Parts: sequence; structure tokens; C-alpha cells
Amino acid sequence: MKIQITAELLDGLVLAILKQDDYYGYALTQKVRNVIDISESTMYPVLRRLKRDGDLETYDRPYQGRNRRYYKITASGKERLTTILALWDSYKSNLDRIFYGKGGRE
Amino acid sequence: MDARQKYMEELRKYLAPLTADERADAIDFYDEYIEDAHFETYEQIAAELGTPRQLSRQILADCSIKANEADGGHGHLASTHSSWRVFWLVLAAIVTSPLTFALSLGALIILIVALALVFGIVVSLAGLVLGLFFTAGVMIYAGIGLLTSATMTGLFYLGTGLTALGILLVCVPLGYWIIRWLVQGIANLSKYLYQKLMQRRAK
Repeated sequence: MKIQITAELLDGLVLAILKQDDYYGYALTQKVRNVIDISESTMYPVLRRLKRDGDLETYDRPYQGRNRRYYKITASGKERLTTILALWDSYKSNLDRIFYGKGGRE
Repeated sequence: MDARQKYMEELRKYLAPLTADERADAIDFYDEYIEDAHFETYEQIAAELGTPRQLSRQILADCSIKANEADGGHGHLASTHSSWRVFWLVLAAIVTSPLTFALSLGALIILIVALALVFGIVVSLAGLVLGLFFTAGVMIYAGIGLLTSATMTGLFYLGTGLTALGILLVCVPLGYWIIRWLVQGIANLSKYLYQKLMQRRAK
């Protein structure tokens, strides 16, 4: 059994990784797959959507006689990440309050 | 030709319905991906990414959903054409995807029932319009015929016929809007199911 990740959280995860460094497609996918269970073909639509929304941009860098496309977070992507993190924080603390009974009102 | 080139060649063929830009973008991404992943054999690529057919269906469905969202959105209806595309491509993606049989079957049944429902409503609306049109025509024709012999009855028929024609003129745009809403609804349902299923698919 496992917990399904939502599209919102997956976006947040990708943006958070890209906030630390620029990555190319395969490396980024592996980085995400180290944390959550997604199939190899999940990342392409996610990256395309984030790019269309202006949350990330791409640039090419030559590597062994071919190109590697790197993904880079934009200012609007950073804003989006902040929003997602705020949502996540409140979601997590609300559940934790029930799960672990901490941070309650009393 | 090595395994990667063979796989990409097939994928390119299946992606023919996309625009040149979209196709190049997807091809570049997966070509680079397979090279970086060091998948050696065709079987290995297919095991990780799905067969070229499966992968292409997924890309096509994703692209049609994005196009539909860009076309509509902000409370506007997308074009009927773009909504139908979402429906058929999602249907195709579900049929080829390596989902469990029960999940695919469930999704297919929901989509087909929705299609049948929309089809039923469209046919009923068309029948109503045709029936009303026919009745109005007969009444106007009879009314004109009776004008000289029985003026009052003739006027009555003529009046009723023209009223029916008037109602029809109001109903046609209304019916058109209902159909457009229904088609958009089918696209939204397809999109919703597709996204749920893709989350499930993650292994």
C-alpha cells in the first residue's frame, strides 16, 4: 500500500529540486524517483505543463557530441513553490494534529 | 540501427497527429532520456517507458487535454472538435495503457455510458426539433389552404403554426448550447478519469 501523490505536490517536488540546482530530464526524473514512486513516463507531461505555465525554462548544453536540455526554475516558479509549501505545511500540521495528537488547542 | 533509434523511429510515426513543434519536443526529451538512462535493448526501453505505441498514446492524450484547456478555460467552452479529441485520445490511451484489466474496464464503461447518454440526448433534441418543424409546416400549409373557405379556422392554424416556428427558433440556439456543454462535459470527464488512472499507474 502507498499514498498517492497529487499533481500539486509533484509540481512542488520538481520545483523544489530545481530551486537547488538545474537538472536535465533523466537526472531530474531519477531525483524524483528516489523519493516517490512514479513511472518513467510521468515526468514529461509535468515538465511540459510547468514550462507552459512559465514556472520553469530550459536551455541546452552540449554533452558528448549531443545536447542535454536543462531545466531551470523561474521567478514565477519560485512563487508557485512558496504557495505549494504553504499549502503543504497547513495540510501536514492539520493531519499531524490528529495522527500524533500534538500541537492541539489545549 | 540501434535499439534507441528503432524505438524513437516508431514513436515518431505514432506521434504524427501532433504539431511539428510538439512532436520535436517529445522526441528530443525521450531520445535524450533513453541515452542518459543507458537502456541497452529495445525490450528494456519498452519495459521502462512502455512500447512506442503506449507511450505515444499517453503523449497524445496529454497534448489534447492541454490544447482543450488552452482553447477553453476561464469559463469559456472549448471548441467541440477539441473536446471530442480529448475523449477519443483518452479512450485510446486507456485501451493501450498497461493498467490492470479491472481499472481499464471500469474507466471504459464510464466513458461509453457517458457517450451513449450524450448521443441519446442529441438524438432526442434533433427529434424534437424535426417534429416541431414538421408540425409547424403542416399547420401553416393547412392554415393557408383554409383561409378562403373557413377564415377563422385557417387563421387559427396559421397562428399556431407560426408560434411553433417561433418556439423552434428559440430552441435551436438553446439546443446548440446544451450540446456544446455536454461535449465539454465529456471532455472534462475523460480528463478527470485519465488523470486519476495515470496516478494509479505509477508503480
